Amino acid sequence: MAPLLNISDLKVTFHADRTVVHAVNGVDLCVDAGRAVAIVGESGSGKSTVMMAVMRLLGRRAHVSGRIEWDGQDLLALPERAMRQIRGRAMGMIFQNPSSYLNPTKTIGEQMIEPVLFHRIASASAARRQAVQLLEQVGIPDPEQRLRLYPFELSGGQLQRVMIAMALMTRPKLLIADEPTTALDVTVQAEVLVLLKRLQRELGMALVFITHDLAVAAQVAEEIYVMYGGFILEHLPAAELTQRKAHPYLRGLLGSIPRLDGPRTPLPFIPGQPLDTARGLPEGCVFADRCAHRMSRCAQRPPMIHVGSGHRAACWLAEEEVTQVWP
Amino acid sequence: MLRFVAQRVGYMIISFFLVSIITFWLMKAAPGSFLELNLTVGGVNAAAQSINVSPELMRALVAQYHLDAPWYVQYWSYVWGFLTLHFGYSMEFPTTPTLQLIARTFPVSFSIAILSVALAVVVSIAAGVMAAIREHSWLDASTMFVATLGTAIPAYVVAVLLALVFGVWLHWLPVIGFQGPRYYVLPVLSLAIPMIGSLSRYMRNSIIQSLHAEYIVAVYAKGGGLRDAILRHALKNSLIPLVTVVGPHIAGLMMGTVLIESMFGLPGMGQVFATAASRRDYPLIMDSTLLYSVVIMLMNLLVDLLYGILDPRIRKRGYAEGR
Repeated sequence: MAPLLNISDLKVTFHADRTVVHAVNGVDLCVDAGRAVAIVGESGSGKSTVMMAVMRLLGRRAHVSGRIEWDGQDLLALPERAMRQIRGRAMGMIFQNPSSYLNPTKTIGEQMIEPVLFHRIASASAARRQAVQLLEQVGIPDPEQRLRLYPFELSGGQLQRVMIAMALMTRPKLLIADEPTTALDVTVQAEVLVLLKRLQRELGMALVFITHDLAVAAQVAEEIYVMYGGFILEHLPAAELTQRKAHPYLRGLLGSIPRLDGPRTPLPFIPGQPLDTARGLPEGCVFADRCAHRMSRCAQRPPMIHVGSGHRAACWLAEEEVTQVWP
Repeated sequence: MLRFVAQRVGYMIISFFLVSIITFWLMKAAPGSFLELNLTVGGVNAAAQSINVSPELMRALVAQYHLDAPWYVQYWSYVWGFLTLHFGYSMEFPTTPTLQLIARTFPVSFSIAILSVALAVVVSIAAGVMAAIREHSWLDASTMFVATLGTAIPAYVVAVLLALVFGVWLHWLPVIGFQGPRYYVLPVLSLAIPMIGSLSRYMRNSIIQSLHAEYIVAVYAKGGGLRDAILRHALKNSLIPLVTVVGPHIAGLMMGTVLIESMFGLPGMGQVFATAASRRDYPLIMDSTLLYSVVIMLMNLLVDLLYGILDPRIRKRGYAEGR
């Protein structure tokens, strides 16, 4: 079966004055229908840019190349008019900070019915009824009255639920969630995650979850893509996250998650600075500068090497991984 | 909201008395009175003669305006007269009550001011939206060039230019006098054009700024286009800062009409105001100044209430917080 979304060799550069920012540098990413995929990376790793490129929301300053196949058609070749048919209908998106992604001067209801109106799916009153139903589904009490409120009258967690409900108004096949819980309190975070996961299963839609939090990614997704400096360094099933990771970067990331239990030790961290994508790319491996396992071969950029079923890593060490398991 | 209005009305009453005291004091501080101006030449009789009234009437006038009474009695008689709409009689035109003078001239000035503001706002919004949609295009550049030109040229130069082109060369519109709506066109345009200049530039930048907000990204993500983004979202939010700029314009215009009225020979209040000041026509000065101040304060209150209509955050919090 052909995947729902198939990204191959996606490159995004931003041109500003004299500098060129290499935000995304040849990303391959695949999402099957109904599947939950997470993209994990530090800020500036290009994880959001990839999905903004899929939605074609990057603006004129961005140069996008490669291929983004959606239901058999190349999104990058579509005229804007056709793209608008897909955006917000088959593909929905929610964002990091719901209070700034909602217009402060329009009611929740006015904004929620917009996807339906923009795509001429139903009348405003029918859309309103659907909005009430969806708000109930995402756990907002007294939805009819909430529709008449303005964003500043709701809490951050409630607003994120509204955003989710709004994205679901058109029954999308794919929901892109760009750090949807980062701006929320920890307890609210967990509720929203559980909600997202439940809705994804119930509605059978695909989910791309963008986060910097490995633990969250493992909870929500079935597959994880690890991004760094605009490259995908590792792609693995979420179940393997705790057992077999091939790339030193991912090992470092996992190592730097603080633990509440056990003896207190100084927090391990990955030394050095994240790659500055505005400065041109290194010849070899992008992570080499910060890598504890660096070797002479790393002057050459490693390809994605097959590690196991559904598991690939862009590291020369992964070649050995195939034969010999990490300590 | 009721509390807000009550509070504002309270401020207005305080301001009203401040304005009246300052006006009264300045008026008295100016050398010479209407009567003295003539008296210095030849006494009460001469003064009476020069304004064509009998010495008896002159003395009656002195008594009526309490010109021989202490200042607070005089002051209060003006203010009380204004408040109770017993405006009294002009000194310059002793047979005409000031109320009648004002009633005849104020509507002309007021309608010119309001019409030009309305025209300026409508045109500026349209021009601003157009320029913002085509940001950095030739349309944007040329609209903004014309707008800059409009800002740079003062109203009285625009007035001369318009009179020359449409009145003298093309003979399309009357240049002087007041006998119907056609006589409004050039004065209103002369006042509106400089305003359109600054307001449309402001509107354009405001819309462009709104378009860079994150909620606009969300509009696109929902499948909306630039049209939806501007008409459904950015426009309304850009009007909020515009109101801030239009408010003072309205106040300024109430006085700005004076020059334009005299250029186009309109029987507006500007002329009444100017002669009253130079002739020390006390009742007329007091009444017209107080009227202007009340109108300007009411306009400002209206503008502040407009914020609430545009911004639910202000409305729902009962106008409690600042903008």
